[in-house]
Amino acid sequence: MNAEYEKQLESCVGRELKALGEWEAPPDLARRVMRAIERRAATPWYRREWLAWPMTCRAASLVGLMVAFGLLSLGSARLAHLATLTPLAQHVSRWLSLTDAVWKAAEALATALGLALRSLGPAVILGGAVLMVACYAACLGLGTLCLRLAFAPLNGKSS
Amino acid sequence: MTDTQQFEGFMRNYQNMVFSTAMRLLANPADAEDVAQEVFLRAYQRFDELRDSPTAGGWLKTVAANLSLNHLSRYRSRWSFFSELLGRGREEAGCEMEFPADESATETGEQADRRALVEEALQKLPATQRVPLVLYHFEELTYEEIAAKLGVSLGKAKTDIFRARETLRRRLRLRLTDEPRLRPAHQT
Repeated sequence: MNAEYEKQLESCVGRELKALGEWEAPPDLARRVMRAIERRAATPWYRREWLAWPMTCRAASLVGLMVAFGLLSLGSARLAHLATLTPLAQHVSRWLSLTDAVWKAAEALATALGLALRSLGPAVILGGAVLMVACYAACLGLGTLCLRLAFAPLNGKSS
Repeated sequence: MTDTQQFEGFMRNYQNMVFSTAMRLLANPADAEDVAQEVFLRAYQRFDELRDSPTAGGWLKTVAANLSLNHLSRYRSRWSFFSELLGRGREEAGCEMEFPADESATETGEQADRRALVEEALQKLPATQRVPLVLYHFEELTYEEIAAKLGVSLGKAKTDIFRARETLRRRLRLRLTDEPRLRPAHQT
């Protein structure tokens, strides 16, 4: 590229652009902003994002969360220790064993899925993947076609 | 005068500048209005600092440019495919653009027509050319800053800006001094 030409082009285009004025903002922009500010101001503090909470509330919530976490950790450690000793703890551990059953069922399901995939073979899996990609491309193509038809100039003229 | 009234006055002083920054980068009035609204909501949160600051205009301009670029990058990957098609379609259809209002009552009709023409040509540039061009000429960033901001190589930033200028030169039939001698061989 010719450096002198580029320089002249830059200053020429720059001159044209600098001569442009400002766009006029939509007349209701200020109203929209003021409405949004009022809406935000009317929102109670606990429904705003945490960073917008008053400082004392943020500090209190942080302390509260830390205390709750500490109590939970302490409680679970105690529970594990007492599990074999008290009937209440045994009752709780029985309930906890239910989650264990759910976990085992999920594990079995995953194993079955793995086995099924292995028995299908790579060709079938590859075929499935290709089919999925083809379906996606078809959707995209159809979407594009619809969009082009929707926004096509009505008089059919193009420059 | 209450804080809110003061802020309203502050906003009216800067709203055209903020809207213009967003509009030139986004080339879409609805998106530019959304960005301008977000800029002023952020400004309201910092109004105590901005109210008497001599750099308030610069701050607003920078936030408007950054939010516009965020907006572009957020939606570009999702919608570029369609928007490129739409952009071409609009150009093919020769759609009517909205032009900026006249700045002064003394401006001649010819000057206003010329400005409308330049604004239209700028808006019709593809985003890949328009955005770096606007950052260079309106936001006064360097090529290096533009490349860093857009996450592209320095060479690509320069090429896109050069192409944008070339497109504008052709569309606006701009004449450079000593043009035949200066123009690169492949352009003649």
